[in-house]
Amino acid sequence: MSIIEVRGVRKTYRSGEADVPALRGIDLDIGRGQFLAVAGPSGSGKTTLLNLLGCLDSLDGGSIRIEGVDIASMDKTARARFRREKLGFVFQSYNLVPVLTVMENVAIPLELLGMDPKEIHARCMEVLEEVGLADKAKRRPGRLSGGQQQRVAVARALVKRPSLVLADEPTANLDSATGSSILDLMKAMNAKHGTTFVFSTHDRMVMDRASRLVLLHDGLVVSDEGVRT
Amino acid sequence: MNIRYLAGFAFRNLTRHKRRTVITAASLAAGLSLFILFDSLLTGLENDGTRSMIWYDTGSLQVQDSGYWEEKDSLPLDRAIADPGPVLDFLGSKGFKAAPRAVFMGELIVSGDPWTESGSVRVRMVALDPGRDAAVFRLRETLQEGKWLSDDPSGIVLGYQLARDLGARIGYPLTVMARTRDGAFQTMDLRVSGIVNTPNAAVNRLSAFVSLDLADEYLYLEGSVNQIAIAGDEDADPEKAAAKLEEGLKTVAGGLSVLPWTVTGAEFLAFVQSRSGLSRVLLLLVFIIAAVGVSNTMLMTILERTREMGMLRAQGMYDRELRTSLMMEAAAIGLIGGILGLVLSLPFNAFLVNTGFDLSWMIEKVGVDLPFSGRLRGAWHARTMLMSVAVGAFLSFAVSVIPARRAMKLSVVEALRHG
Amino acid sequence: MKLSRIAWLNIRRNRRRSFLSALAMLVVSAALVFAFSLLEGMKAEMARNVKDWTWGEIKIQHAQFEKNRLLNPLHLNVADADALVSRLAALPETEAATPRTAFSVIIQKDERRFQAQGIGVDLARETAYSRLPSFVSAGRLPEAGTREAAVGIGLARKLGLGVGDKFTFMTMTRNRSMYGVTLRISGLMDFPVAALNSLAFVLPIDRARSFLQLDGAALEIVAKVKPGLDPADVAEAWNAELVPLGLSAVSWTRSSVVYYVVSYIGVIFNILAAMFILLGSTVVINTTMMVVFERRAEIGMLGALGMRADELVRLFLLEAVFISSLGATAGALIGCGISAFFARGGLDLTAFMGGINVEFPTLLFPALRAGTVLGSLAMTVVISGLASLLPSWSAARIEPVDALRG
Repeated sequence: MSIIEVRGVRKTYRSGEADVPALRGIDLDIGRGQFLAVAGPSGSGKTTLLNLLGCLDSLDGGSIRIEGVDIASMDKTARARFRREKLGFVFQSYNLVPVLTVMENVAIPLELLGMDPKEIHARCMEVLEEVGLADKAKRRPGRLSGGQQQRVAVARALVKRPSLVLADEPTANLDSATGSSILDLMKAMNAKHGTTFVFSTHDRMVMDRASRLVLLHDGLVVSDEGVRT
Repeated sequence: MNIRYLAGFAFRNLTRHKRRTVITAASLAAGLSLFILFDSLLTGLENDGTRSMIWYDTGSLQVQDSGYWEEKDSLPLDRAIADPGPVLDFLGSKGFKAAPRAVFMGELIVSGDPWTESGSVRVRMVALDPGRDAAVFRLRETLQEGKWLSDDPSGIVLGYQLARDLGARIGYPLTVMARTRDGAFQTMDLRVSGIVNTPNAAVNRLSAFVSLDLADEYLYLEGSVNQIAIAGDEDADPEKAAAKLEEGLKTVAGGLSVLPWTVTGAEFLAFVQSRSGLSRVLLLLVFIIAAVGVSNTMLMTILERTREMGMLRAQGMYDRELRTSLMMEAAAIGLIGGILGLVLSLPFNAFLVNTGFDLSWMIEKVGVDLPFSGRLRGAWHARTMLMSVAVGAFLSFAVSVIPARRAMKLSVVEALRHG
Repeated sequence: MKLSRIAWLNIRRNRRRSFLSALAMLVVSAALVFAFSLLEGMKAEMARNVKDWTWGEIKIQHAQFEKNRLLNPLHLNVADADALVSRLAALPETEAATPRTAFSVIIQKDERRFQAQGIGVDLARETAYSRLPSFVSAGRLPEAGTREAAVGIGLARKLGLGVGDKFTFMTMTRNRSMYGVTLRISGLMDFPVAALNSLAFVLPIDRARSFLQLDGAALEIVAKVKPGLDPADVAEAWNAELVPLGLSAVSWTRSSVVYYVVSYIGVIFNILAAMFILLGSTVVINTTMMVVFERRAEIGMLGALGMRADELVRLFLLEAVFISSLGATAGALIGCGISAFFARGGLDLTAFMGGINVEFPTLLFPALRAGTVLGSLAMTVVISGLASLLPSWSAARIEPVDALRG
């Protein structure tokens, strides 16, 4: 059952005088619980696709439906609300807030949802346990290693039990051992909670671990292998 | 996202750049502090001057013939309250302390021994009833030399500056030339019986005092006076009191006006008002500097946190929530600056209030005709002090609107790519 | 590469930030240039008023007159004034000289009395001295030998009279008798000194002498010296001959209250200006701090490559100084522009000035003087430069190793 339906999606950027077509007609169906990697050389449009799936940018053509909702029909605030309720993000450079503790960083999505403080605390501790950082809850990100920071980011992405987690090159800033363990973590979460994961990557290791691999080239899908359901 | 969380977040962010926050807040503090101090001086000036005016020159209220005020520059004796008796009785019955006075223009002539030089000078002659005057005015307490009119009703008492300029001493004879109530010339040969040194420079420089009985005899006043000064409650609204009294007096005699000190002292008040204009200019300058400082800080902050803000927006934080958080940060800097400014001003203000500046040299040299005492002192003005804290916070809040708004213009995607 | 060139390139790396920083100095500089030129204008106007009207550039009086001035001592006068004036006017150092006699009167109109001041002047000489005719706003100056006077517009308004009307006043003569005089208003005067407008009238000195019983004498002679000469020196030189005659010459620089008060104000102004500059400099300080922090890796690298600590400090200091100089210069130009704009119509400060002193002008014309503008600019750059030393020093404290570690 697809929770994401991508139909004929087009996106063009203006670069100076020229128009640069980043996506030239993408069709894709992503099912619930999939662990999917989008790969391709730079300029292939994978980051653009991820941004669109993440409701961070607007389409120039085609449509995207996530859980039946047509993204293009939403205005900026509606999209923000959608992200708030349904999506989780993991970034290449972690993007944690340095003045907040690990716990507070993880709590951000729940604060945005206006949850009860007691419940927020409980949930955060729960998810920190899952990523193995419960003892670091009161630390500031600056005191953690790169791998630990990315774990916090993963915890933050998962804390609200989103339908979809989008990860843009999550292992790019990590050494291979650490990257591998992060990937294992995310795979475990995917198995445990059934959260759909979509990666963009050019890391071979990620591509190998993904259960489905979509290759983009020059803004079009050139191959789509692996589990599709 | 609730306001309390945003506020907490904003406050936490302040600690990120402690030095920058402190420097910006400090510059705000310095400017606001200056403003408080300047205002303190102005308030002190106004308070001291008003008091000097009321205690030594105008009284709180004045009963006059309704035709007197428009002719006041000529100090006319013919626009008078012909029969002050009933008016004084009425006032007494209502619990007012009143003092009748006849004010007229006189030419003070000095010549020969013992004066070092001869000549004449125009003075403002005040004929008063020594018994009743003390209930309204405090001249007697400022007697520096000689005797007050209550002890020597046949003499003339000079203001300190006037006496000094003339070289007058107790016992010197002089002649006052004036016009009687009917306009005829009259001369009065008098002796200097006392010298008063009041905190009112105008009185010291321009006035001389004689007893009402003496003036009545020489100038054929026939019991009339052109002013009845009334002591008032300093806190009460003088204009309302004047209007009320004027109504009441209609039952006693017709054609009388009651003027509050805000009218009789209008010239001084205008002077003070003009100085507060200067204070406003100072505030404006402080505003400009603070505005530039705070917005500069905000812009630097935004520049540094672009990616982080992109992340928050990606997580689903609304633009307006993020904007609010930023503006609260700015407001917090402003609040800190305001409080710091208030605290910074306290010791200096204490100095101004307790010691102040001695400007008596200027009074003498410049020939000031306003009720100054020569001592410029500050006054605690709670309203301004609190207002400056609020101003600091509000100004910073307002100034951050545009930078905060512009920060949101960047798309989330670009923000994430930044830095 | 020279440090200054590196500094210049660095500023252009982050144009927006550099601009914002410079903006603060721009605002400060513009405000200061404008304020200083207002002050200059005020000083120039006050000097002019004092020299033309309220004192004279050099005033010659009876030696005892000033002390007893309150008493209007007509007997303490300058005898044979006309002869003395002719002699003085002929001297090479004299630009112009003229006798004046001021006396206080009470004008009687209907049943009301008004205080006023009459000024007897030598109409011919007065033209050269104070350009008296240029202040006539209606009618004309009185003619010598007539019973006419030109009245200040404020006084005329108070009296409710106009050109052609008559007014009567009483004054005390030299012999201490009261004398009544009636004069016809030949014209109205708009003096540059507000107090004169509301209190004074001008009449031929001969007429004044005749009713004041002052044959041949005047109460004062005012003189102007040729440009470039110091009036105090000239007055001293004249005193050699005047003192034995019982007279004394005093330069305005030695007597005028205005002179003292203005220098007092000048000092306060400079102190306030310095504080203002410091306030504005906090922006540059903040920016420099941020720049040093951001580029610490680069600083570490430069240090590792062999750049000395003092060179590093100089580099950041130069950056800060360039920014503030640019901002200050732009601001100075804007300040000049604002001053030039107001120099035409003047800035009406009646609201600020009323009540305290005869000699302070209420309509101010900002005076742009190269010296003042450059001085203000220099003060701004120096103070902000010194302020930027602190954050620049922090660059030197960065250890290369720490910085590279990030």
